[in-house]
Amino acid sequence: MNDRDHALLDKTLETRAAYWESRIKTYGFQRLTDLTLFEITLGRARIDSLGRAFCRLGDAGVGFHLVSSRPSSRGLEVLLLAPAQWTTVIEEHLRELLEGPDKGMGRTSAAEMVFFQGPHFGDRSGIVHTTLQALAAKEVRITAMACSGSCIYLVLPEGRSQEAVGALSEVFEIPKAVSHKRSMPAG
Amino acid sequence: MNETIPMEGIKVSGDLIRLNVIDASLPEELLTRFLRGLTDNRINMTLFIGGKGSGGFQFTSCIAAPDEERVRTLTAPVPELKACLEFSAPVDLLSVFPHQFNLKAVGLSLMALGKAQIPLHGFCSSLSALTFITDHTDLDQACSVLQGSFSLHADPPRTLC
Repeated sequence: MNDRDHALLDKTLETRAAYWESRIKTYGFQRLTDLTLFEITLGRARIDSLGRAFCRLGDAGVGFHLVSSRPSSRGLEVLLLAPAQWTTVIEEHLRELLEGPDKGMGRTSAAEMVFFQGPHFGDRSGIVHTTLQALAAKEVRITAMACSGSCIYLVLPEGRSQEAVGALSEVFEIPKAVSHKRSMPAG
Repeated sequence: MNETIPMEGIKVSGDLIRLNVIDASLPEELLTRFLRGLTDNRINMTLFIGGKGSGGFQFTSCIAAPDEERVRTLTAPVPELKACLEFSAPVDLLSVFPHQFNLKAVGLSLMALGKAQIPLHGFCSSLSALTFITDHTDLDQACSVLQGSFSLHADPPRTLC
């Protein structure tokens, strides 16, 4: 083949592929209850203090299910979702962040979580949209959502995770055997 | 606090920009419209962290830098949406894994990034990884301080579990 043939092949044999399903497959929904959600807003300069508090909690054997943070007009909003059994211990360790002149703001609430994965979730479009659309259709209100790697996490107020699984099950494909499996709590 | 904990690897996802709704809140209808636009145009969000406030939804997300113009184009005809969305300078996602649901791993990372005064634009855990959003200009330093915080293999794997 000469250069002209190569150029022609480059133009005509390009293959573009995208993973697509009429009904998006998942590996099943995991539902966790008896959780506490800690919402902390603090200045970016205090990230070091938050790190120290988390280290002490780690040393105390406290585990977590989800930790996330996003920017807000007041700095960073941090979510920590952990088993309810650790509520008092976590509150004690986070107290110093919420005191002093540049104190942060904190809120604690009972929460539940639903999380799930599926084929190629990490590198395909439309999963967040489909998820929120499914929940909105059944008027299921979430507190927070995080999608990182190939996993979708939904944080819900106490008592609402079953409704969320029901709404999602109407839209996503689920393997029957593991549709409502509950995973082991952290910590 | 000087004790380090083992990590199997660190991964960098680059060539991204951050897309935020911070100072406003998106009503559900606008959020749905925005997400439908991304879906219709097959624009993937590498990371999405959102929460519901009193006036609507706020979020930070990361998309591939080459998709920025398409996102600007699809949001331009909707002034309320365009007014809420902020596009950031280039960012990278740095992931360390596995965190094993150990808060100390999160804490050590935050302390290291905070001590080095590396601006952090968000972070999120997944089943295995802890992912941090940092400015592209800080990539080398952020990698270095995270590697210094953990006992990583001499040649850490670059694939993410």
